[in-house]
Amino acid sequence: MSSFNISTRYANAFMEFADEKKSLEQASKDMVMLEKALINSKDLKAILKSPVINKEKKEVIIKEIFASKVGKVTLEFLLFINKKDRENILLDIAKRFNEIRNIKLNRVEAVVVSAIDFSEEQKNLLHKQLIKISDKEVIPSFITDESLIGGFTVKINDTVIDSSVKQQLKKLRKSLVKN
Amino acid sequence: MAEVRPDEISAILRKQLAGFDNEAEIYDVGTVLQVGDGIARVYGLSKVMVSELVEFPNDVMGMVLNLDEDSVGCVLFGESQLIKEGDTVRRTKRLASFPVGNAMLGRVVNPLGEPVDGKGSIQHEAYMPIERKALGVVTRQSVSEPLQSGITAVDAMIPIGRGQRELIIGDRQTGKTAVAIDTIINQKQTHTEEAKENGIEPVFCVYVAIGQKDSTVAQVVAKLEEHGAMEYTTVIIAGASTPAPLQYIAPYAGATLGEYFRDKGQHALVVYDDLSKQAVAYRELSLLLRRPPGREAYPGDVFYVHSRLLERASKLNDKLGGGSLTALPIIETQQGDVSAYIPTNVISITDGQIYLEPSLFNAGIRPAINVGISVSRVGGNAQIKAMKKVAGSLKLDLAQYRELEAFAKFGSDLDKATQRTLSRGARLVELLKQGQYIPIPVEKQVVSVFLGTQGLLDELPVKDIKRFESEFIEYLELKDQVVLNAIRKEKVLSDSIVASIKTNAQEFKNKFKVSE
Repeated sequence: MSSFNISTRYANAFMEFADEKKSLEQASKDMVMLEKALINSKDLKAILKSPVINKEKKEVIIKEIFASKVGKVTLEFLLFINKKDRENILLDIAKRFNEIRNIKLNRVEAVVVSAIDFSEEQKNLLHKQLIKISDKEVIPSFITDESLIGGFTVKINDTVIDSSVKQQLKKLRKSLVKN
Repeated sequence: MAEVRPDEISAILRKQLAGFDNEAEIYDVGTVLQVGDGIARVYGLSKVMVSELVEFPNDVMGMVLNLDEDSVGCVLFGESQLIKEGDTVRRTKRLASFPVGNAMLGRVVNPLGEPVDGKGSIQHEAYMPIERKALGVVTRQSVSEPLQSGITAVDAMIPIGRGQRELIIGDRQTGKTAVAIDTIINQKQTHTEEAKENGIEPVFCVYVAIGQKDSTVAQVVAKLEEHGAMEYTTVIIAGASTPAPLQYIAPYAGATLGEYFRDKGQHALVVYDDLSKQAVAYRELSLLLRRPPGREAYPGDVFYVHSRLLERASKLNDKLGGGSLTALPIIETQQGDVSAYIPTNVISITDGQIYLEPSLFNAGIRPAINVGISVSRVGGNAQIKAMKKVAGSLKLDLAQYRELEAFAKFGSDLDKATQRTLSRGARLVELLKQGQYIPIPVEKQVVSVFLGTQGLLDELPVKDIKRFESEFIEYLELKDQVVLNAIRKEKVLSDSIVASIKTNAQEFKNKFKVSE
């Protein structure tokens, strides 16, 4: 079975379990935090993936890092995954959990890249527009990238709305080369 | 000298840029997870279609072949070294397609329709998807018009009709490509004014070269140009050095161009040279896409690869314009083994096959067609009446000859009837020999087959047969134009014509000097 299938199954199971224990809110927050932690910390990822470090040691590590930061249910889940030898796909599980949660809550993440920093007012305006376009609750994150020259791009799921100068120059070049 | 004024330049530039809109663009993207061996696995691209073109960085195009749960498998039409993990892939929302139009004629292009002959860009009419569903039953009619190959053995005994699929099969170096090229060259006569008067419609040709040496294809193009055949021909080349995905799509591109002519009510001939190499290319990319291998390591759908391609050959009914698309697929066998996987597949799909044999080729019988096992299942209806009349006894005579051939070495010990059959057969075999790039028009074919089957050549020595044939036809052209013209126009062999050929042949035979 592909790791995609496995992680979907674990993510769904955990969601149901957390719901039963009436701590889905806490679990969702934990999983977002977990995804970020795993992406940002190379060491943690490496340790979880390593087959050389044994289960008992990993259990101690997980307890030490997360015990004070996540809810009881989440910690239980993490230890369960460790016991089942699936700690190597923990990141995939966290990702799938957040994806499924977002779909259920009709929520999407949007990445806004702009050439210059937006003011708060601009951010709010854009946020409202994005909600209107996608018909969903949008969680925007803002990044500045000067290589765009001007304008901005928004990425929601796989769709990109591109109004950057960089893209327009590319398009212009193409249309000139063609003729 | 006229001066170039800067304001003039800016005016032109402004005009060129006027059509350029600077609105925000909306497109879908994905990320490259893995790349190598001409295959890329992409994460994202959630709404992408199968066989859609996708755009990678550095102007590399790709085509989607696998849609998995969490990723998309793409084949690359360019260098995989130009792509890195994490690169952004863009959807084009365009299925893999091929430019069509009359401007494609006379050009050499790659399977994406980009010219490779250095003659500049092509003003095509439209893009059509390379994968199109073959037409259904109601839109078709049975094959009724001949597609003259210009090769006497083929036109007399294995006739090809417009809309037919005739396989050319044989080992390497047996003249498979030669048969196809001769057929293309022979279509030149369908583009003349005279053909128009006789109600023969022009045939446009597409030659698809798959996995061949570029030098070989260059020679073919040069030959076609030399014979003035490039005017109505497009060459699609996916050479041995092009990536396997391009070799795989090349025949479909050729079929799309052929369909363009067919759907306009015109006639097209597409040569796929050769489909065994295409199957190998498809096997390569299927294995790289991790599809399970089957017999001879070909994927399970290799039959469908060829059947859906060849099903696109068709003769449309009159309501749809009566256009046709004739397909001449070529298959190379190894050591004459026709029971290998791909040959049996394609044999079962096509409407007959022209079988070429190395032993005949080496014995000097060229084209090396084994007429005993070559067949055409539908072409008979398309033959002109005159040819049908003379070819009937030709087949019979040759069959009898083959049966008795083993006894030939007993020579004079045989009875009279056997000797007669043997000598007739030897003369007919000699008569069917033909040089490369010299297609013979159908009326001359009829006359020469008539000479053979009527026994008018029986007294001549075998080595003089070819000379007699060509000199007699020349004589006929000079002395009695009526005969050839009548066959060409009426397409029947009336009694008066038969008598006229006979008397002329007798007259000529008296003057003919047998060589020492």
